[in-house]
Amino acid sequence: MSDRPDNEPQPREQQQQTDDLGSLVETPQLGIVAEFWGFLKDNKKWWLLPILLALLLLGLLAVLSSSGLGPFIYPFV
Amino acid sequence: MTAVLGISAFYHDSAAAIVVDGTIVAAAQEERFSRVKNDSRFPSAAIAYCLREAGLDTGSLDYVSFYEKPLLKFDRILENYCAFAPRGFRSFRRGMPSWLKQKLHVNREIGDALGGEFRKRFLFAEHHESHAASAFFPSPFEEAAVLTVDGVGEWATATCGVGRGNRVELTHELRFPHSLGLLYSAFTHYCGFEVDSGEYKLMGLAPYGEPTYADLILERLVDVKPDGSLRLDLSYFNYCYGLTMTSPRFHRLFGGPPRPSDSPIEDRHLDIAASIQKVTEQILLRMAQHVHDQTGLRQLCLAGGVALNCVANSQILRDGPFEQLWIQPAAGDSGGALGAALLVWHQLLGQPRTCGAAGGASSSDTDSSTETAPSSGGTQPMDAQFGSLLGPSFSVAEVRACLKENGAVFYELPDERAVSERTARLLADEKVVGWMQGRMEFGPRALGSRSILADARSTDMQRVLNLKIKFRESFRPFAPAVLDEWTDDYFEMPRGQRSPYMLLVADVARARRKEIPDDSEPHGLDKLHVSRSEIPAVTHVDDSARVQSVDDVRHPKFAALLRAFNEATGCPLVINTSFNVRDEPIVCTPQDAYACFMATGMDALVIESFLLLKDEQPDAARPSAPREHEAPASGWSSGGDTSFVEIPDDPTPRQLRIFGGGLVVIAVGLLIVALALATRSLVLWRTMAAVMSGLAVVYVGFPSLRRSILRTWMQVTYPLSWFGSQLSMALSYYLVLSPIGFCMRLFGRDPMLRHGDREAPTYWCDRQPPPERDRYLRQF
Repeated sequence: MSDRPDNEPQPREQQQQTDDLGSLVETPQLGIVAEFWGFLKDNKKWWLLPILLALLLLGLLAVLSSSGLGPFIYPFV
Repeated sequence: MTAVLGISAFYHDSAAAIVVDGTIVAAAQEERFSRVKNDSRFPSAAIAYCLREAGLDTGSLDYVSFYEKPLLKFDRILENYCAFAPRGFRSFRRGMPSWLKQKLHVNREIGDALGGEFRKRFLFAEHHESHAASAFFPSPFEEAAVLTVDGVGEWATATCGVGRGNRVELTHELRFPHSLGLLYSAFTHYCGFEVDSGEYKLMGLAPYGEPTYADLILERLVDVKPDGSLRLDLSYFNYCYGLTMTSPRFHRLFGGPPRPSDSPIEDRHLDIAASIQKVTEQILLRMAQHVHDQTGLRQLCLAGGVALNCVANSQILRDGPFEQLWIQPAAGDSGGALGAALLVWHQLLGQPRTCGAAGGASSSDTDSSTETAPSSGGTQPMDAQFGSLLGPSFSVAEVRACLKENGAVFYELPDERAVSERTARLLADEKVVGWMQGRMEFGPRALGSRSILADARSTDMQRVLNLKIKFRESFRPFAPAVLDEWTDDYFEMPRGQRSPYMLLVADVARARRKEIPDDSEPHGLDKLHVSRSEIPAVTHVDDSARVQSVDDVRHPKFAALLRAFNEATGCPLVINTSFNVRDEPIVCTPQDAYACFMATGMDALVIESFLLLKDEQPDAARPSAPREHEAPASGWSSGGDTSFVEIPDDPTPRQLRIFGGGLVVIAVGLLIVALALATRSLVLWRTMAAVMSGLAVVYVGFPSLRRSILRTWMQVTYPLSWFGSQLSMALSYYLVLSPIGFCMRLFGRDPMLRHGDREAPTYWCDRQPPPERDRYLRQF
């Protein structure tokens, strides 16, 4: 078995791939809302939107609850 | 230098792995550090270990890769609920809080775990891509067919394709809820064992029974095509919308409700276990034939939880079309961490693989590292998994310090030869020995680094080990570790293949077996009491054994011990079972090993060059049952927390700040309202304003009381909070999700593929070609 089979890229291509991926991971991290938006757009699953909005509200509730504001939410809402 | 960290987390058996310049430097499961069996929490301790082993800090990492795509998985879960709503609310309310609080925030979780020092984007591979990468890239093959089978990843439950050079391409898949892994898990649940961890018990139970239900399973429960693709009749299963695996219809078909885990095993359960095992083997064999037909290749790589079914693996090798088989030792989800890291290095960065001779693994102070030559007696070239010895090791000084701290009585043996010979003598005297050497194993099997060893020739040893040492079910078999060059002498290995990772079974060689007349063969679990060979403790009731072949390259210390035992007794194999007790993870540190040694009936403990004898220990307490762990729920609907509100044991400064701010705002607001309404004499408002204002003053003025105030407030308001969270989830489920699901069904949408087409030639679906690299930045 040769060390470098024919189907493997040459070092220059490897360097290109490394550079490409290296620059891709330097781009800003997407938030969860942007990720969901991209998902709905790519998959044309717009019918999931109302469910996701309802879950977004639930998620906000969860975030507030776990951040220490939980005790104020339910008694006063 | 390029360092890639792979992570798997949140379902079961979370893990981390680090690959530096293409070499697997370290990999470990979180459970070994947290001491919670199959720990699914984020693997912070495993990550810290991997970085330590690689000599890196988080800022030095080049890439961090997660083993699956959370949004795709969430999409599948929502589609699942839509397909069955209004059924499924109990499952929804059990699973959703953990999704909303944690699982959808993987970026935040990883970022926090890395201390905020890794500032690049994370990469996300698909679940089965990670499995496939973990199976093919460390394998010794330049090209191979690849088959991954488990419960479910995002949507896929099984995939197949081809690995060639530095790329893996999956071409076909089966989709949820039609899953061989879930089918097996359903029977695991039905027979009284825990889903996701008790499957190997069911496999061990199978040889005691007869496969009398196999035809019934194939006729009613699952439609299997000649190519191994399948559809389940979902009316027999409950896992799509319930908290259990099987439905009342299933229970009626098999003659009763599921067996409670503490009730006796009946003959019916033995036959059911034998039946589902037979069906599983048939399906896997057909899948293997299919992937061979598709690829025309002679080698197969396997991964996914189902690949831990070593009986089925052996059947693939024995009766299937492949000449060679390589199975990822950490075939379950923990191995996904390794696959995710290797996928980045080879497939995304385009770095080549070198097959047949792996580079050296980095290791702090062990000698288990370098593989450059094929095994002496094996028929396969060497892989790049380094014997799966990828976990932490401990120096002599660390072990000595630990033993002294515990007040242990120990001997320090002068060299490795003395360690082997002394241990071999103990084993020959039928002593049970705890054996901890070098780097810990990655994967569920103990391979001679964290093992309990005993003499396989003893007729009583299986019972002693099961009941007095491991505290586990008496029917479960033990595995032999045999010197590589003696493997064929003792076992009829399929196609002469070796089994360095204990993932194949083989019949004990006929010459080593005893003749058991048919009329003296007992029935059911009584088969256990028959001595079937000259190595009865490792000969299962069907004359098979789950073999580990030990060679000098992968595991020189263990091979030296077996050689010493062979010289002392003429027998080149011992019992090798994992160094733990029932329901506990395998030991990791010398402290874990010492504690396990003292809590069980083990006679001796060997840690590196230190020997401890039980009857010399000062606190040699009587063996006791293992302590109970509060393991996270590992059933189908993982995450038992049904409320959004958690009362923190030790509130963080951030929580205290936010709570204080909220308290002051509420108090001021109530005061304003009370003053504005003063003329109307609303006593309630005034009282509330006074109480809150007083509380706010105390909270601000007395910092030492803040934690108590916060915890007390949360405890007092918890019932209301719990009710509010349940109500919110119920409204979301019944007023939003259920109507949408109903409409989708009305329009004929059937993402669960509930209506199997018995006329269809196959249920395999085509997969999209490998995505562009930027797609790995996305969580879908």
